[in-house]
Amino acid sequence: MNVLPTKFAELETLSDWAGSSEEERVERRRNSSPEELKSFYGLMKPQLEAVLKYLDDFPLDDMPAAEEKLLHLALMMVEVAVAVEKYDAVGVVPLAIPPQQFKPIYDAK
Amino acid sequence: MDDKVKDTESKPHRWLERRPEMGTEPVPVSRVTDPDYYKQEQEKIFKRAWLHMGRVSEIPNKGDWFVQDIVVAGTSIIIVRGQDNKIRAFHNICRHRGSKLALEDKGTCSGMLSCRFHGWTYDTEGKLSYIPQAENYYEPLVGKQNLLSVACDTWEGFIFINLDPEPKETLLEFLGPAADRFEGYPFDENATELIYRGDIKANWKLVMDAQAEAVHAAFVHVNPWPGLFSGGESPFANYLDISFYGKHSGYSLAGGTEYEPTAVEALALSMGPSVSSSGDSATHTCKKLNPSNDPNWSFDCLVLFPNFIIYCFGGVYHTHQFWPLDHRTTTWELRMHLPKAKKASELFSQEHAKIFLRDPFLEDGVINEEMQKAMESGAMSHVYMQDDEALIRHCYWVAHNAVMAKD
Repeated sequence: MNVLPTKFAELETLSDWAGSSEEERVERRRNSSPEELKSFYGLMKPQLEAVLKYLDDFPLDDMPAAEEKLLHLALMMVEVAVAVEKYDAVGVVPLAIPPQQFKPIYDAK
Repeated sequence: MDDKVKDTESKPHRWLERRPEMGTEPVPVSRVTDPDYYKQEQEKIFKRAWLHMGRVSEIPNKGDWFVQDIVVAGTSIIIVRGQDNKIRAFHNICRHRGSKLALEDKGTCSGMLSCRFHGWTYDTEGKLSYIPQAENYYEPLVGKQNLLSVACDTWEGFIFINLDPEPKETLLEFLGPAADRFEGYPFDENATELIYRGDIKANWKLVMDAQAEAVHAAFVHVNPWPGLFSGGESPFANYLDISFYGKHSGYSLAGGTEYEPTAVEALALSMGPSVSSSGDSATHTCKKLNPSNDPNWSFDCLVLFPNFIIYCFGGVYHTHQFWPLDHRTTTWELRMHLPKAKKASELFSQEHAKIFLRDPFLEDGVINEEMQKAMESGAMSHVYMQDDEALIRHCYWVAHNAVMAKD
């Protein structure tokens, strides 16, 4: 069964990359091989602008499930693109502390 | 004369000249390794300086409060917006038997703060207003055993406290010439606050150094940021200005003219502000941004003694704070303030702006931790700082002056 909007059916093979939090997404990036990251990037990049344009018509705080999944896929593209474009497709930032040591805390106060 | 010598001669020590009393000597590693030196910092810096706690917008309504545990000073502080709208700070301690009054990080009350131990209840001005079984005590206490108040004031919407029972200077006097550095900056327009926090195994000054100096970016962050703040005539860092404001200091930095965003980065930049965008919106309201009026200006940074840094870009601002847990461990907190995302493309752009910073900061973390280990090895006694690192030298110099000061 398709989980993404039908307009973007060709991204269905990527749908299990759609982590809903930054921590999930960065873990997926760190656990992926350069080939997997490059493959995700290659499929997502030609669609990215159209995906964001499409999602802009939906309210951010009240997205239907399929659109929300697509949004998370677009956010996953950020992690993947930084790895592919900046770190030679290596998922784990070399010579760096792990992201678990410097964590996003959005509702701290 | 060969080119290298010429280069040295053509670049005078322009920043040191602005604060020559700092001297040029190497700095002893004991400043970051010696537990006794740290004890002096606890007493003479953190228990006396004005310390940033958060923003007034975190407690927008009467009765709102938040707690900041200050390990370095051995206390916990509660900041409360009173029924009179005034923001006050108290030691977060119930005057009954010394229980921690508020156990959560934040909350709101309807005008009364109650201790969950035995129900002693205080109003938002700190006055003890109710004790269960008051008649069982041996003396009248209501209205007397009030919360212990802590000096508290605000500047540009930032809340500061001072743990000295009798602060030697007001917040404004403490800030001195730094007070108007960001006058008019639209701090309240950036409604979204993204916070990163983590403990780094390094002295607080080392962790802070990495965020107060830009030269290392050309080396440590060469992968994510190739030429972001360097290039052309400034192969390492485009410092436009380094200035000293009493105990405080700051710099202004230009972006690299040859920096080219990567494909997805460029798309994200077209959808919202980031650190690599040249947004200039804030320069319209804050005339003091970009003091050199440089067309490639990127951001201005203000380092407020002892442990708070504000970075103002044209479209976003960030703060960093460094809280020592002991002489070799530091809680590092980054708060990124961005405009509220109204649609998916803006959220995507913010996610990119965030990750584009997070990864380089993870790179800084390793450098900090390895420096601490290296310095603790005892193999080396001093470290060297060049003129573009004058601001770091200044931080060590101001801290040392405070530690050495006679009472």
